[in-house]
Amino acid sequence: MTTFLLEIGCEELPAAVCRSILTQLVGRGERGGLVYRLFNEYRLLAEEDAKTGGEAGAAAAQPSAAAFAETRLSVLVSPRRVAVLVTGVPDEQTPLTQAFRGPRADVAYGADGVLTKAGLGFARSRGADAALLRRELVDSTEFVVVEVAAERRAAADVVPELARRLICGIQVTRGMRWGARPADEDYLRFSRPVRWLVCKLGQRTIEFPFFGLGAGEVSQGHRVLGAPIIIDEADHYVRHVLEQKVVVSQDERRARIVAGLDECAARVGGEWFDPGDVLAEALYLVEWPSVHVGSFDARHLRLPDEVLVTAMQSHQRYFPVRDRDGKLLAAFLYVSNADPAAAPLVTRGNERVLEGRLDDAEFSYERDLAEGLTAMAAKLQHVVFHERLGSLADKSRRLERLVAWLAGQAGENNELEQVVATAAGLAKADLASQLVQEFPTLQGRVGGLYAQAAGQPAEVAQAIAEQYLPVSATAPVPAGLAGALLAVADKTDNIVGAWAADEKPSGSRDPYGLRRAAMGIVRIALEFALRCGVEDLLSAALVAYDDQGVAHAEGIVAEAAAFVWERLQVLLLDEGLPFPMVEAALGSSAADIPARAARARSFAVLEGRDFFDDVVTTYSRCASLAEKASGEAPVAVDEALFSEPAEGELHKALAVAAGPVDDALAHLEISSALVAAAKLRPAVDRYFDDVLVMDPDPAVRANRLAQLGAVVGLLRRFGDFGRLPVPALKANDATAGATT
Amino acid sequence: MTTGARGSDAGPSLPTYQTIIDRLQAYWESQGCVVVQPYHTEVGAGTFNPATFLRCLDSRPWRAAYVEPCLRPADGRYGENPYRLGHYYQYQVVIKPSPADIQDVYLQSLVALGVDLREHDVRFVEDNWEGPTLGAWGLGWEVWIDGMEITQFTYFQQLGGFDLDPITIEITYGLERLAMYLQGVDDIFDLVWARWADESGEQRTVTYGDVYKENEYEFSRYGFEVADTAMLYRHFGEHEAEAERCLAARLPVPAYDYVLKCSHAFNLLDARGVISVTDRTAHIGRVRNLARKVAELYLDVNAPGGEAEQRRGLVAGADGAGAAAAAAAGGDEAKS
Repeated sequence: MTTFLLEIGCEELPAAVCRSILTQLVGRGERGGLVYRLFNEYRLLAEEDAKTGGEAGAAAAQPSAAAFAETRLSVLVSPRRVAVLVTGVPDEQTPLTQAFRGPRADVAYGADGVLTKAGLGFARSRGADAALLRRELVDSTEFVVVEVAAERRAAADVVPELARRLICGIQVTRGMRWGARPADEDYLRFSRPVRWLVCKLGQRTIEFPFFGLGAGEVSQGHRVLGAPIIIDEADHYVRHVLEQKVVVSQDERRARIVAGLDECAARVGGEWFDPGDVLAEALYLVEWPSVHVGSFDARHLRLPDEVLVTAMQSHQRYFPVRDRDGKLLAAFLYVSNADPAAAPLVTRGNERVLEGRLDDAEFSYERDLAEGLTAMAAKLQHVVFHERLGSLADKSRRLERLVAWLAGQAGENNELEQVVATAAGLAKADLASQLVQEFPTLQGRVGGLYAQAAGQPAEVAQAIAEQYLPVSATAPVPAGLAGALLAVADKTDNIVGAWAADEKPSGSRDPYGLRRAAMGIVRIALEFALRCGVEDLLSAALVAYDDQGVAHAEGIVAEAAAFVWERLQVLLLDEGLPFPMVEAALGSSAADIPARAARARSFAVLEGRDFFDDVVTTYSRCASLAEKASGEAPVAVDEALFSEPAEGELHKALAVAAGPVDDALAHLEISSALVAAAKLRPAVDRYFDDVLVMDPDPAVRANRLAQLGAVVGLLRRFGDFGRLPVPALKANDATAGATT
Repeated sequence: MTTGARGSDAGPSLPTYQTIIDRLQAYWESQGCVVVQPYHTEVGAGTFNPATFLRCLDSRPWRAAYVEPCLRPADGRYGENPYRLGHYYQYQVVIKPSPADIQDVYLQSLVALGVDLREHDVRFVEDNWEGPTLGAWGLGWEVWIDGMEITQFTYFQQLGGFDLDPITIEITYGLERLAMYLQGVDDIFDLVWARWADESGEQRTVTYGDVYKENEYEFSRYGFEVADTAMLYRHFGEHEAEAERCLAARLPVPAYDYVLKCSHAFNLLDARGVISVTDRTAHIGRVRNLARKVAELYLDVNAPGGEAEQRRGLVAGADGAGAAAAAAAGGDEAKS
């Protein structure tokens, strides 16, 4: 039993690639990562002491993927190396017995029961003793079968192939080539050039050629502070590279960095924070981390916090520090890869860089403030939004109209209408600012700051600041209603615009981030219970484009609506709701997002309750016949044509149910609405018992189909129950079913 | 010219701008590079010099180093911004195929410039490069020294839309940034370009500002306010047509000159702010299309045993008289 080490030495890997490699190699769940799968395939999983199953017996006890990852595997990733350590590797492959099927028995044996040439040939081809052949029936034909113990190769003999497949099995999103084509091979593709390989089984060095490189025992230390080093034993690896100033374990590096950040922040009397998640990246930018404090000129503290934090975090990957009241300090923390003793000089260099960036930011900020948000807004007519959709000034005008419409939908509220109108007019102005050109991720937030500086009400500034939220599928939505309406209007305008300009997303191509935009609309509508219809909203946006004179294809509202509904479907499925319930709810005639979402969530809870099943059964009985009326001109139900009491009864039941159903649905009280609708069931059942729907008289037939259509119409307000399996028939259903 | 009393705190022990260039030239010469010279046509980056774009297309080994003046009219700031210039210098190194120890070789160039690597934090930070007008992209890093970006380090993967084989490493130093770092200067225009002692033994310096500040102002005004856009549009079309004529005559190098002229006309139009978004995409597409054709023709003309080698007498003719004679004979035929 021994330890396996493979170290892939690279030129500096991107941080995102480091994280991806770690995930691929370690893996999750039953299937395990790449390392587990390869060790399983090469039969090197089971530990020596577990290998007691006997030579030809059952496979030795194997660890599960999770147990293997937990106790036996370490994957250590730093910018210049990926190291895989596996403990408890058996010295030879674990036993495996394989059964092989040969020719048909009547071919393998002669009439005399003696093996023929074909039978002997089969045994020989499998390296088996002919005496071990036996007969076995497969699909009523008899074949000869032999069981053979697979060869058990020494671990050292299979490791080269395993290691090669491990390296080549790592997927990188953007692979590259380097140098010259290795002799007789294609280029190896990897995220960055691979420069050395170390492969060990315990003390033994496993040498093998690999794309012009040879695996061996020599590793490299820190690029500047370390030296090449011979790894004498796999178990000594982490210690050996540590001696050469490489902390190879990402967990250890993280611990050192966090401890350093804590200590440095305490030293300057504050706490560090990291809104941009710089830590996740800084971790993979260094092999020998130490944390140090830098400072900048306190006059820069005039700049808004957002700007200071972004200047520190984006690109430079520094950590800002704030005091107990949340006030920013004129200090930053950085993670160095240099000798900690060199810190004074390194700090000075970093300070100069940040000082330069803040000088630039301050220069831009002053110029922007002097210009003012209104003047910037006036420049938008010269900034193209999209070649076919006009300028950003056109966009602002459309937004003003759309938020006014949205505010109207939300109810009578003069104050809100005022706020959103002002906010929409100024929303895009910051795109003409210097600061946003320098820090594009601050769009919206800079506009909010400048609106405040211009004396706009706080609600207006907040709405402008929140217009791009949520920035991801899980990021927060706007906190205020005005911001929510502006955000919905902006995203809706983007979606409708993309359809009008024939730039809709296809496949993995979504350059304008419209899926994210649609998800944003869905999440905001749910959070703020926005009850406007999706098609109405999109139509309102399209009207603004029409009035601007933008030409577009027909039918884009319906297409764009389907696109938005798809996002709701994704969201509901992510909540864990069953697919049929989501599908049924999305088939509802309800036009708005909260209505359909409430249905899906209720259906999932109420499924199996009697009243739910009654509604589904009622729907399916009526719908299957009502479909026959499709294509014919719809007729109003005429009571004068009723001849059976059941007809009048259903008519009355429907009239009684409709009011309560409508009422409850309007308040999204799905459960009470279903209870009210379930009361139709007896009348419908009796209807099918007593009434021949497909009457020979066309007028009567049409009237009866129209009656069923009315039932379907009411139930369709819940959803398309045709998406659900019809509940199992109960005893009384059986008779009803027999007569239809 | 001014005396050393003014401007910079760059002490006499620190390398001047011209010394930095000298040291880089000497270092890369010692690494077996051909020290070629700046190109004779306006370019936006050292990558556009044919010593990079054309020479790195084919399979023949190539090592070159050179200073390249880069024109980026849109980056001009009238000489008012301490970090930004419309005209600046790159030091460009290309080596094909990329050597296995190239990162160390590069780091030693910093040592040659006087940087003690153990006293600083030198990092390779992911930064990939794409040149849409050249149909080119590569993967690599920006090199940081104590948080300051001083070099772009790129393994070219494609040029002119062609997959490269072997792969070239391109190392591009931003000379002003590097010099600002080495001299400890915070304003480009305070960089010490040259330093000497006059007859009385007094130290005298010439700064970057002495050499270029007025130029920055004038070229910024020209680029943003004065350039004749109608002329530039016309030139773009004419240069494009001339490039096509050169291509038809199987002359990839002159054709490439006209691609560069197209690119520069485009950059000026862009700085003038007269190019709309659509126009922009279309013009970039036209330049890229030309660059692709040039690359294709260059590869064909310079193929092993192809017409370029024949003209240079590198291929033995079938009759043993040599290809140069054959080519000369061909030339005579063409004249007659």
